Amino acid sequence: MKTLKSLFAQMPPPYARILAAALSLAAGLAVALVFDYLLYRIGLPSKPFIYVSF
Amino acid sequence: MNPPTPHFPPPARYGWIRPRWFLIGLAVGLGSLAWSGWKISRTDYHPGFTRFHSLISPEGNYYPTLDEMCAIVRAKCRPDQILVIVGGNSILLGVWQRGEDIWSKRLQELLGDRFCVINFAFRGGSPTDGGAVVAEALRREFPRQILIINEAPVTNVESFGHGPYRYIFWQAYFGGKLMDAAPREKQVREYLRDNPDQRLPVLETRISIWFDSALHYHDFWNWITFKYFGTVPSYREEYFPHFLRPRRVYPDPEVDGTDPVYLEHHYPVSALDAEMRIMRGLSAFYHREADGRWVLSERSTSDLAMYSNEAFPAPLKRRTLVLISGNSPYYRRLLTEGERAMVRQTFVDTVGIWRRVGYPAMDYGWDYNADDFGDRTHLTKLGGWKLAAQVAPEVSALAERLGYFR
Repeated sequence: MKTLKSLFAQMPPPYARILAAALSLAAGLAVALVFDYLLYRIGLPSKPFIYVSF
Repeated sequence: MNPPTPHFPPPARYGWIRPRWFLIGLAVGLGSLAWSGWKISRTDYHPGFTRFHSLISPEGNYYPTLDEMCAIVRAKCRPDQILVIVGGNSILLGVWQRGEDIWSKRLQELLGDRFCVINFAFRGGSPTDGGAVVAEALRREFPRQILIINEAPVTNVESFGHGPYRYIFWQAYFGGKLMDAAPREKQVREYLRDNPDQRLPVLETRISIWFDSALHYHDFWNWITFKYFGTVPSYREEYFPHFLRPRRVYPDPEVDGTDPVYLEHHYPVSALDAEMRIMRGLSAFYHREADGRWVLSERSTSDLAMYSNEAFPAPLKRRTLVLISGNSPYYRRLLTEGERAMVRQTFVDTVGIWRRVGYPAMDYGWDYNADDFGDRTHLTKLGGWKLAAQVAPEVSALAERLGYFR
């Protein structure tokens, strides 16, 4: 995080703004992916189905 | 006074995160995933589908969705063909039969190109699970359809599926894809009234289905799991990293029951008592008259008639062929003559009741031999082929009666 901050500090402001926006966008996409997967996993039964033939 | 020097990053509440861009990313991400899921839900990604074997079924922690199953039907069945969906349990799934020998494949060969047979049976499934739900959901798209289901004699059938496969029913039910059927509504209401512990899980299922109808995440992640990498562990395979393999690479694990290697697995001595108890257990529903006839109790008769009558919506009964599954003669021969007569009567009565309430019904297996069975009730490929030969003319005649050839 510190490296990221210093990277921002060293960058010319327009580039830093673009980078921050791109990273924020990527973070949003990543959270969407994780949230989508969590919804899927929550929807699956927690108990395994073990078939026994009679 | 000098103006303040531009400084980046500006002091912000969220550090380097730009909330607006983050929210745009979140919305675009969810939107893209939902769109992909929606597209996938209308795409068949099971090329050469034969059946839901254990690695691509709830046994393997893979839960095929209703849309996934409907997509298989759309890909396999041409509009000019009569759709024949096989539902039911492990017997019709073809346990002890390899994919290439499976009875439903033989049925397809016997019926010919005018029909399209698709096997949606599940292990431990009931007549109203999986295949039955798909057929009902596709009733308008494929009006010329026949559903084949099976059940044991003197067994009541609930109209809204059961056990691990009920999720398919709920997907169709809460998704508004089923017919209005007052008896089924009543059974659902009574189920929730009599099982208060199920109210919360059903509510959760309803909420989950509501979210899924907007985001289609089940279809999306099933597709990833099937095609690219495992996103859920399978209870049938070793854990990490094995479960990361996509499900498509797993072969159908069902074995050929006629292979001599498996002969000793068919009728193990350890299972004898349990199997005989199941066979003789049917006598609990019967009493014997003085003349030696076995008579089904009034209560069992009325229960069986009521459940069978309400199992499917009235307009769908005529196209539902009910098979009453027989037992291997290996165990039957161990019964006394009187017990055998009782078992025979259970088949006669059960078929009679299903027919009386409006379904075409038949039993099978009574004249099969021990080699036709892989255990008490599952058929080897030999038995499967006999079953196909018995069922094909029934399906053909049913299609004729329903006017499907016109």
